[in-house]
Amino acid sequence: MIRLQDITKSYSVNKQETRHALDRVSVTVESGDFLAIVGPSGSGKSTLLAIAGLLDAPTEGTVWIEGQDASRWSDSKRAEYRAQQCGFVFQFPSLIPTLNVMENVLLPKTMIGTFRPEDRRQAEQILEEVGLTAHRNSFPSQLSGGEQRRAALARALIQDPKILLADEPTGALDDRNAELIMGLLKGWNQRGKTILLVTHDRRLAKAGNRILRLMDGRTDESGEDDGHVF
Amino acid sequence: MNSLWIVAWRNIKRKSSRSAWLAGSAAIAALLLFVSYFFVFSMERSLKAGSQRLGADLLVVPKGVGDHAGDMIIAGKVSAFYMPETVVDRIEQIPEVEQVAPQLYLKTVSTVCCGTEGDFPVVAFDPQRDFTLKNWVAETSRTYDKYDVVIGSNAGGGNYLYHYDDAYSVQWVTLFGKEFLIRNVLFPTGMGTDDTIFMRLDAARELSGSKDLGLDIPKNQISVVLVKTQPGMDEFVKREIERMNLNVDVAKGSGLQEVVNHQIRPIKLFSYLMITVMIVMSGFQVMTIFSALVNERRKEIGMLRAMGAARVTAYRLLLAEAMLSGMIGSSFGALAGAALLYDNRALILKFITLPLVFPDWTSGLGIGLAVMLAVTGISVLAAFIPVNRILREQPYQSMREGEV
Repeated sequence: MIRLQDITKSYSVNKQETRHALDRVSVTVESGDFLAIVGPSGSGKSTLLAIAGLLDAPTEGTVWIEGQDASRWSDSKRAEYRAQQCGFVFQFPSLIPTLNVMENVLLPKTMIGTFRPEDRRQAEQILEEVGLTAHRNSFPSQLSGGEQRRAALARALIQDPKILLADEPTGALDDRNAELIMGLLKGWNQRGKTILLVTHDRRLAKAGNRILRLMDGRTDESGEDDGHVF
Repeated sequence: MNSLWIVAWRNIKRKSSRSAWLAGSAAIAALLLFVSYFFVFSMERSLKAGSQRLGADLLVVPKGVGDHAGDMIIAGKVSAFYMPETVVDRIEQIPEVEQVAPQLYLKTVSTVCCGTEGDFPVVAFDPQRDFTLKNWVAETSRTYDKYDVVIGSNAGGGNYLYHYDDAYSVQWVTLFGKEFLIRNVLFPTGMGTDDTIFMRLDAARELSGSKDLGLDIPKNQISVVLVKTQPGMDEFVKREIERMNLNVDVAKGSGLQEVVNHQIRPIKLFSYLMITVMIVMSGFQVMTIFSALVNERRKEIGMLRAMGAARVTAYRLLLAEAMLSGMIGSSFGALAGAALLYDNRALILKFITLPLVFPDWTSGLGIGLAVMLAVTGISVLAAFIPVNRILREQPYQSMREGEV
């Protein structure tokens, strides 16, 4: 379980001015949830996702993970949490350009030093699931946008994480690729994985069993008729 | 091999232009460092050789000429002073004496040496007892027949180069009406010795006395005895010789070493200064390049950390890349430096009129390895600063900044 309590994230614009990307946002994510975080550009969706995945630290507020205050964790413990519990997919190209698809997928294991030759079999299975078996030796520059996104999904799953954090995973993709990726996310959620999805697309947000709507860094409680609203 | 090193290696291999920048800067740094250190090493070596030769711990000369004991060595002035050869045997009997080498100053001769006309001081030496010239010769394995000579680096003029690199070259010089084969050449000493021709003592004595040949030296006489004592015993041996009443003056070799040191000091200081500047500059150069490269990879670094790489892991990966690039670049740089210097050593010795004794290949290899290690270390240290700056950020910040 992840509980974000009164999370504020501020940036200094200049000496006098401070901008709040998030302003006292609270949300609880239970195990097995599919939480869609929606809102317009600049509403703080991605920042919230980054804080939930311990990629960023809040200016104020507390991140509780399994009952522990993660704000107090050391860098190595945060890294260990990301490595073992989280998988990330981003909107921007996130594959390492000098490594081929297979190497990219295995990279999380390589980075934390747990790689074993039999992990290749697991990587093959995941690549088959995302439809990239034929591209295992291709480099990112040789893949289309949709294929790159699916390769990033495969990499996010290699550690068999409990939580998948996806930031606009279908952004800039055609309908066919977007549906393919959403189908994969739904499938994994049905298999017990917790999904945090950031999107500005209300149709995609409907895939989640819960929706968190943000507006100008705050929880928007104005009400929505197309799902649960926090 | 550790898989992190494999990833680092792949990053280097597949981003060839990026790696070439880094390796290239390391190569330039290594080349400059190698050349600078090579020259300093050569000078140090020549000083060491000088201390074994000029500073033969003691110089024994006839009574009254002690003040001019080093004139021939330093200024190339041949003075006619003699003392009985028995002095050598007497000095040799002192237990604290390790070696003695007599020399006989003959005269300055106008002749043609290797096609070069000039006035050359001629000195006779005993190859069996010599422990001085052998430290300066280009080819240490050669032996000397009766009518062979060793010439100083300048004595051969332009043809010196030819002798130096070609063991089979045959050049002759006419001295006192007799043809002598030039068997060896001395490294430059920066002193009078560079113009001197050394012939064997027995040959000099054989030619002496004939008025037609212009050489007239007293029988069984020598001009100087170079003495090597046991370590720290030079003062004791000096007093022992003086007590023997041999009618000689004894000069300590350290005085000559000081002269050489004095001559070479500004060049040494300059070289060390150059080396320091090289190290600092190459550090800044690598730091600047790596800073740019790391900035370019900011998003990638953020991604790696999102995947679970702790700061220390990211450090290891990026510093491994810096180390590999530095190692490859510095190897090429040191190799290029070595090739440049060794291939053109004769030319360098001709144009740089410094006392230089080039290191042999083993020492050259040692210098190359030291330079490689130094430049690799500098690369890693220089890379550490920009890497550290970026790794202090939160991963998300690196990813967002990297989008720009």
